[in-house]
Amino acid sequence: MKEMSTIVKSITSLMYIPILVFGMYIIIHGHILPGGGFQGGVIVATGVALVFIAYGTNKANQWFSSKAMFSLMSLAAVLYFIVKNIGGKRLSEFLLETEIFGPAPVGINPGFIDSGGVLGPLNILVGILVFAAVSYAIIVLSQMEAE
Amino acid sequence: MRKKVGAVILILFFSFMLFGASEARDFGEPEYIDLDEHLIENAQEDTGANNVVTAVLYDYRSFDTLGEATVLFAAIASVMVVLRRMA
Repeated sequence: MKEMSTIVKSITSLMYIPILVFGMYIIIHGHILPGGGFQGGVIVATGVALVFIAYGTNKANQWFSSKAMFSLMSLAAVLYFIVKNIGGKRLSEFLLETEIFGPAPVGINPGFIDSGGVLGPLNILVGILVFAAVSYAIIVLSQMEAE
Repeated sequence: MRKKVGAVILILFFSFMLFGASEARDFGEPEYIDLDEHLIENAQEDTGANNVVTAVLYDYRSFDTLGEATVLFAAIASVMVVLRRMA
């Protein structure tokens, strides 16, 4: 993929940070607001796709490597497996009793992220997994197109 | 000839789908509502999350989410096998 014009690159350098922040916001508010790991991870990956389209494969490959994305995806999957299967119900109950991951206030939640027990960490892990997976597909496809 | 047969099959299939849609239950009124009401009433106390969808996805049906992650992982692994660089 060739790099695009200066206008597109300038707009991309303005826009990709807000896109990443919005995706992370969707991920970490997964247990309060609509959304969650899957949706937020895809939004973060769209930022990576925008960088690849605007700056071209050769330059963007210096910032995002496919090997790191695959390692990140494997790590998140293994951590999800460990947290959910081995930790499971005991870890959830333990986290619900702590200060940081305490139970949500019954009724309307005005936006306390520090609630929900094990759901917040699981959302973040799934978000990392989906982001790394979709980014990996984007990176590999752009490399194929370049050859 | 082929076009006529295709058109007849299309009309039959479409009328069958319309008939099925007219016989369906109204939207938002499922037949069994016990599980829905239990989830809506108890999800917040059980899991500590305000979002009932997240509570179902990551707590009640968490192994289903693990399977979804596995499907995604397998898809990306197949992408890696097919599209890797022949270095």
